[in-house]
Parts: sequence; structure tokens; C-alpha cells
Amino acid sequence: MRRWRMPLGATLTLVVALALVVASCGSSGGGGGGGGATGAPQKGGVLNVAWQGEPSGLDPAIQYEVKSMGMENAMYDTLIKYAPAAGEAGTKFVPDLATEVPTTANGGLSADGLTYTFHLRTDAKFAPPVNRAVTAEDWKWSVERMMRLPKAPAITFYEGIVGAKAYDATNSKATEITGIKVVDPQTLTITLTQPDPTFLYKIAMNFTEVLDKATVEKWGSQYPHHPLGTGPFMFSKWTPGQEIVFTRNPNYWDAGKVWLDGVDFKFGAGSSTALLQLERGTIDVLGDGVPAADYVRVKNDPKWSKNLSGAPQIAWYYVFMNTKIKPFDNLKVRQAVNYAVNSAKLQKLLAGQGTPLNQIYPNGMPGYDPSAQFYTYDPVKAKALLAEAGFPNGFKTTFYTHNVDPFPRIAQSLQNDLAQVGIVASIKVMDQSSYWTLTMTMGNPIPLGLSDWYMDFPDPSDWVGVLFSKAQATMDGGENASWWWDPQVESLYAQSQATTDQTKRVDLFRQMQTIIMQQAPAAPLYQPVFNTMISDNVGGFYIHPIWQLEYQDYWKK
Amino acid sequence: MGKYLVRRCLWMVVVLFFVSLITFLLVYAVPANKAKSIAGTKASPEVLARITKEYGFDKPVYEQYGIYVWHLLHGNLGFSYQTQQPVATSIWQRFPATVMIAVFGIFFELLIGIPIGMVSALRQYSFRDRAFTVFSLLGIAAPSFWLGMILMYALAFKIHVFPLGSYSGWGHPWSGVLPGLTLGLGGAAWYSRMLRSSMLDILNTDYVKAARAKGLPERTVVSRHILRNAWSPIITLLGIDVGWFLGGVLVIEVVFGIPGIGQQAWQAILNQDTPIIMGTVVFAAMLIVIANLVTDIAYTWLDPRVKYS
Repeated sequence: MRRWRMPLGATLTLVVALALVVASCGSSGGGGGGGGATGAPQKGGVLNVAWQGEPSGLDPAIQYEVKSMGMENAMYDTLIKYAPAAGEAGTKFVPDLATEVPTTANGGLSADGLTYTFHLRTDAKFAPPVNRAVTAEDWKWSVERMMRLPKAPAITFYEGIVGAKAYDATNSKATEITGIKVVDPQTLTITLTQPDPTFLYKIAMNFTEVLDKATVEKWGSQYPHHPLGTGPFMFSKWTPGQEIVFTRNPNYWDAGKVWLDGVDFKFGAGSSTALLQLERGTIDVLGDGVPAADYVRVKNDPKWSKNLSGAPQIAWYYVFMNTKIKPFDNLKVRQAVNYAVNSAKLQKLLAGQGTPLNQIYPNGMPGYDPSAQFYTYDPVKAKALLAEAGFPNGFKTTFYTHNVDPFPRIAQSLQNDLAQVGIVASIKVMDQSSYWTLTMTMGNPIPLGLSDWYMDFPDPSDWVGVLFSKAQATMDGGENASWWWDPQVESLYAQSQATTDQTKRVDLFRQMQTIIMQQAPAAPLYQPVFNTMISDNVGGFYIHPIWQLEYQDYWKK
Repeated sequence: MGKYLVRRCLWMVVVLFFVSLITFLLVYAVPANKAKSIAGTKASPEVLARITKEYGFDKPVYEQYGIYVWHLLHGNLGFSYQTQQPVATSIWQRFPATVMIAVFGIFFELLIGIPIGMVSALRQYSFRDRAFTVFSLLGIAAPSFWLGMILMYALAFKIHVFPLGSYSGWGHPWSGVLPGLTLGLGGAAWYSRMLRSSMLDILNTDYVKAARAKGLPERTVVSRHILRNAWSPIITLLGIDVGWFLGGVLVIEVVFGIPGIGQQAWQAILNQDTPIIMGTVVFAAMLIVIANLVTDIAYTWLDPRVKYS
């Protein structure tokens, strides 16, 4: 999933940071207190969360970015969900509307790996004013609706269900997705065309969250601004550009574990302003995180540093090399670029916003190998490789990037690294939208560029299958910006998708990583870290690896 | 005067037509995939094809523009790609916040700029004049986002005089004071310089000398004979500012978290939300054209010598 950001606030933040650092020397506002994860949970209170921009809507079938997905997670339920925990524990499944996670052991998954059976809990009800029980038919209807929405971005995830492709095809006459069977109001089965080891990840995504048909039909295209679900909170009010208010859902089936009376999402303030609001006490959590320009100041502040929370995101930043353009069709040149990246310098530049990464899988993704060491910073070796490739004096090229922080900063650092080994790269900066469109256009003129990738779900197929696959390298709109693929990787990938043995799959994906790193269509740079801050009034705070913020687990002190 | 008004109104239509055409072509020229902007980068080719057809992105550019203008003539600015809300509704929802900032901004421009300009002109080369000159130069040079952050840090964060970057609607106008002051300080610098220059030109005219020779009190000389004739450049600036501020003051709105149409337009640009971009530009252009017309009419009221035919 590509991360889209709001550049103006960040730009202003960077420019103003110096002034504020000077102005704030020797003092900081607000009261005392420690971090947020301590103390016993308490009922009551409203959590004030600052986001710079508001979501475009709260329809789980459509919205596909971390802000709205986190809000939807607090308002809707799906069959199974990610465990409410930080780190790797948060990537495991727990039942949500279903009574258990289907496995072959509990009979929820057939021996051939094709049919999943879900039993729904009987105490789940839609929020007021609907107040009725959730049935298997609701889930089926929600998925079928999503599959035919023009703007639904993720229908390909579910096309492995029998009859799904026929159902979502243009001008389809199909009346249902035949692979989804409602056995009784509390039981449904889903049959796939072939086993899919990542299917439960897809079921746990927000796209299959359950909606009330009558409410959706009542609001029509305006539904994303009048959402209704079955989750811990219910939608109360949306003031455009200002705030969205959630209140506790009295019908929630697990209400005893919801501490807050509500969540007030406040929009508009730039990230630096939001930080001041938090220090002043009017905001409890920074949704966008601590601005990069303020991070060092806050980290060195004896009071506020205790309120900082950070977690590596399952994502990576990397340089892609277009193997269709000379001289990056030459393996030795690509390897030389990998050796030229000065990771230590990059870490200084990022100042806590990233951790070193020298493999394609970030920490937290199955397949990540803590002992792997493919390339280390070695400009001498890089020069030698360039000489072997026929470029003893280096060469000139163009380095493409978009204009949103941190991309321009990273590009400048890499430009310097490349110059050290003789590669003279002129930087070409584009606006974000145009840049991504160009990188995904076949035959584009980008020889070398900067990219990032945030996971859709914590499975390495979301890396190899998207960024290094033949399918994505042979279509317009593909995410394989290097336009590189390898028959052996394709074969290993096919094997990984044909088995549900996770140990075997991890082994296969590590083999793929070895080939990819050896062939070097990309140079890993770093794994981003989400740093945010909470007020003294927040308890139970942690950063979830998927949703980042799990509002229903926090409380006010 | 009637003919003049009709002619100006017709010109207004022409200006708006060209504004919409140029904006449309600029937005169209950006090589972004609009279907992907709507559905996200993960969208499959089937989804993109579906969106392309539904939104008419596969039609020639002149046909797309024709459809836009046809809808515009029927009062339909289209629907946001992102939110599916009517563009007119989106602009109207955000407009009160922008109006609040504009009102406070103009209030402070006049409140600060006019007295400073008057004192500077009447006490030319005095210490106060030189001090105000320095103030004006600083006000003109200081970027508004920097000034805004500094004022907010000092007056809202350190001293709790104003709300800290929050907007609570017209029911709580206090939240508009600091953004308005930030906007007004920059404008006041211009107003004071313009008024000073304009008044200095008038101070040595024969009719001012005659008024003084007749023994009129200085207050009367200044208010009736000097100020009234020095207003023209101020009115011109005011007309420009009214249109400009109401069209959305992007940077101020972002710094202070004001949910105005400037902030909305910025988000639309990021999301390639063409209908919102188009709607905001056309709306802002209309405000500027109207403000200019009102300014021209105001000249005739202020200065009876000005006549339009």
C-alpha cells in the first residue's frame, strides 16, 4: 500500500522548526506525569486525536489508507481481526464476529484448503438506531456490495472466491458470489477456486467489515459520511474539516473491554500545531505522529520524551533501478549502487524516523532474516564493480523522486553517495501523483528512483508478488518499478502460494530474497518508524502493527 | 452607469470562462492517472477501466470540458472524486470559516495599517515614522506561516490568550482573532506604506494649504481634505484583499487549522480531486471579479469626480 502524505504541513513544519526550537529553549509547557501504558484501566472520558487531514469517508469497502482504516476498525467488525497487541503479536488473528479463527484442526478449514466455515457470534448487534442482530447474510451482502463498487480498490484480493470474478465483471448478470454460502443466520462458508495461504489476512482487512444494508441504501452515495457498524464505537457527528465524533456503541458485544466514552478526531491543525496542542493539553494523541523536525527536540525534552512512543512499521524505503534502461541492465552496476548506499549517514539524516535495512523484508514481516547481510557500505568495492562493468570513470544518470518529505532529503543524500563512487546523478523532482503514475508506466524514462512500500497484510507475498513479480513487470500500472523479474523467483513464488505450511513458505520467501538481493533490482535503504506522542492523560497506549492506533484499547486517566 | 455595469458583468462571464478553461487544461495536463487517484494505487485494471468509463475520462478533453461547462451553466459544479459530496456543498460548508478569517484579517489590516500610515505621513521623518517604516518592512518581509507560528506559540501556547489552532465556528469568534491578526499584520504593512505615500502627495497641495490658511482645525483638514483624497489606493488594496481572502488563504488556514476553502483546495490538489480544484478556482475567481467591480463602484461614491460611462 502506498503511503500518501500531506506535504504542506510537513514543509511548513521544517521551515518553522528552527524558530520554535529557539523559542522553546529551556522550557516546555504542560503538567507532569509519566507514560501512557501504565495504571489500571478506567471507564469514561473522551480521547482527543489530532489528524491534519480528514478522511474522505468511512466506508470500509472504499477507504484504503491508515487513518480511515484505523477509524473504521473502531467502528466496524469483521469475521476475524488482528490481535489487539503491539509488535508481532498484533499480526496474529483473533475472532471478531466469528466465534473462532478457522483452522483445519477446528474444522473451520477443509482438508483441501478450499472451504472456510465461519460461525458468527449470536450477541453481535448493529449500533443504534438499527439495533438488530448481525447475520451471515449481512457479511455476504457487504462483500458482494464491495465487489461491485466502482471505487472499491481491493476487489482483486477476493477474486479467488468461487464466482467472484464472474460477479464483479463488467455487465455481469450474476446475482451472487456463488462461493459464499449462507448456511444459516449464524453460519457461512466461503469456497475458493484454489488454496490461498493469505486468505485469512484478506478476511481480516477492513474491506469485508459488515455494514447494514438498510442504512447503506438509505444514504446512497452519502453513506461514507453516515456510517454505521457493529464495533466498539458508533459514529455520532462529522463537521467537515473540523472533527468526527465517535461515541461508545451501547450494543457492542464486548462492551466491558471498551474504556472510553468516545473519541473526538480533530482535523485541520498542522503537525507542529498539533504537537503544541498536545503539550498544552487539548489533544491526547498525535494521529500523524511527531513531526520529523520536532522529533529531536521532543526526544531531548526530559518531560515529554517519556510520552513518546515509536514502532517500526512493516514497510521499507528503497531505490529502484530500471533494468530496461542502460546501464542499469548491468548486474554489476546495480550491485555497485547497493554498495554505494551509506546507511549510517542516512540514519543520521532520518534522526529516529527509520531503522537500517539491508534486505527486502522489513523487521516484522515473515521472511525477515536478522542475520542476513547482503551489502554493506563499501565505496571501494562499488568503484571496482563499476570498472568491471565498463565504467571506470562512472557515468551520468538522472535520479527521480517526488517532492514530499522525506523523499527529497533522501534523494540528496543518495546523490552524494553515488557521486562518491563516480555516478553523477542529477535529481529530478516531480509532484507525488505524477511521479507514481510515471513509475508505473511501461517504458518510462526513469533510470533510477526512490520508492516506498507499506504492507497490505503481513505476508511476504505482498512484497515479492507486488514489487518483483513478472505480472507487475509486464503491465501498465504495475508496481514493479525495476521492471525486473526472474523465472526462478516466479517458480518459488508459485510454490509458496500453493502451500499453507508457513515454515515452508518462509523458507521459500527467504530463497526468493537471496535471488532478488543478488540480482539487485533495488537497493534497500531503511525501515520507517512511526513516532507519536500522547498526553499524560492517556492509558493503555500502544502502537498496533497494522492499524497503528487501536482506539478501543486506550483509556483516559 | 447602467451600461457600464452590464458591460462589466459580461466581462465577468468572459473572465470566468477563461479561468475555468485554463484551470481545466492545467489539471488535465498533469500526467496523473485520475482513475488511480480515485481508487488508489492497488486498484486492478478492471476497476480502473470501470472508473474511467463512469467518470468519462476516456472522452476527448474538449468533450470533458464541454460537459463541465454545461453542468456549470446549470449550477452544478460536479461531485468530489474523493468524498462524493457535491462540490458546491463542500465549498459552502467550508466558506464560513474562510469568511471569518477574511473579516478579521481585513479588520486588523485597517485597524493597524491606517493609523500607522497617517502618523507616518503627518510626522514624516520623525522617530515614529522611522519606527513604523521598520515595522512595515518587517511585516512585508515576514512570511505569514512563520509569523503565524510565532504568534501562536507566544500568544496561544505560552500565554493562553487565544485558542491554540482550533476553529469552533462563528459561535466562538475568538478562534478567528489570531489567524486574522496574522493575516492583518502583513496587510497592515502594505496599507500603512500606501497611505503614507498617498497622504504625503496630498499634504502639500494647494487645497490643503488653503484649508489650513482659512484656520480650519488640523483634525478637520486631515479628515476632510487629506484622508478623503488619499483613500483611493487603500480602496484598491481592500478590493483585492476581499476577493483574495474570501478565495481562501491557504497558508493561514493550514497553520491555524482553519477548515476553510483554501485548505480544502490544497487537499484536493494532493488527491487530484479535479472537481473540487475546478470549483474552488472558479468560485475564487468569481469573488475576485465581484470584489473588483464593487471597488470600482466604491470609487464613484468616494470621489464624485470619478464617473463611468
